[in-house]
Amino acid sequence: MDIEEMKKRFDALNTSLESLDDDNIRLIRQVEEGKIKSAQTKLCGKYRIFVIIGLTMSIVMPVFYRHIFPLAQCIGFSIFFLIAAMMDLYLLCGVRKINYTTMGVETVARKALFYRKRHHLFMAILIALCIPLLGSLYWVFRDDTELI
Amino acid sequence: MAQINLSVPNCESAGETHGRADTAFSRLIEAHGTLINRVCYMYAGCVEDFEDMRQEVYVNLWRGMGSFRGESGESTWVYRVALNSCVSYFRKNRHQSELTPLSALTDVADSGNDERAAMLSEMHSLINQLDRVEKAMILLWLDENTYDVIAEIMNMPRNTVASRLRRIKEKLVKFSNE
Repeated sequence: MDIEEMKKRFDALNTSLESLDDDNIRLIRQVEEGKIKSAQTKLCGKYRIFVIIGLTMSIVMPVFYRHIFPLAQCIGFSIFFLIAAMMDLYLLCGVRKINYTTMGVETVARKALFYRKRHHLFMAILIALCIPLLGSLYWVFRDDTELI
Repeated sequence: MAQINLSVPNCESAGETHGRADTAFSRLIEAHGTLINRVCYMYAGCVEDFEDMRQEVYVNLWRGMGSFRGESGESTWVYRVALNSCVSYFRKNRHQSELTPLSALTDVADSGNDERAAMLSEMHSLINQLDRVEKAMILLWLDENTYDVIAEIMNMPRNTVASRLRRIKEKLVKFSNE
């Protein structure tokens, strides 16, 4: 298929997709009534919640769980939650800045992929940090069969 | 091209007209709905992706209507929002059995015209081998936009657009000969 043939087929696509506009009205109404949020808004909302949870837990752990867990583990978990909160804050700030109406397509594509990769990288780091923390907790309470 | 006043994004419906609410947003969608469908179709892998992407485009257009100042043409602006929504879309995890093939979208219009449906499917699978940015550029070119408009939407220098499009066309010819 050469490029000119592709252009003709692309023009034919218009005719094939015309009928899809007939059921638009419900979707348009839902958008106007604010019933649908964009993926960017939902993602930022999730990151915001996890920032709050992370910061809260980093304070709660050494303050309220000091009598249950040893000090070293409490501090360890506090730092863990603080790191998680900072990571989520970084992702929140980055994703929020992506502007679909003013940025070029290449910029948006690059930023979207960048933050997606960062998200997966941060998850891997947090899992890697969590394993020795849970392991140390198990080591401390290894003789307490009831708790285990 | 229909001129639509985008300066009042939250204007109330002036009443039903031919069964459609007469708001600035609905007029915008009516004027550029086919363009949006085309972009979403070329980026989607299944009907579910198409519907998600189209919904995403509509929401982003609605959110951005208040900030549109008319520095560029309306269809240029809609193209930018539609392409940005599609290049940043990442498919949800769905079971294979839940996916409806993309050909179902064109089956209604093309019923009885198997040849056209097959041609569209072939074109889609060829363009699908390009990366997201290349796909955006070739879609803009296939829609007969000038290099200046493509450069504006992609936010690239005009010369870069020309050289990249040349490479993309060579790639497509190579894919089609394989």
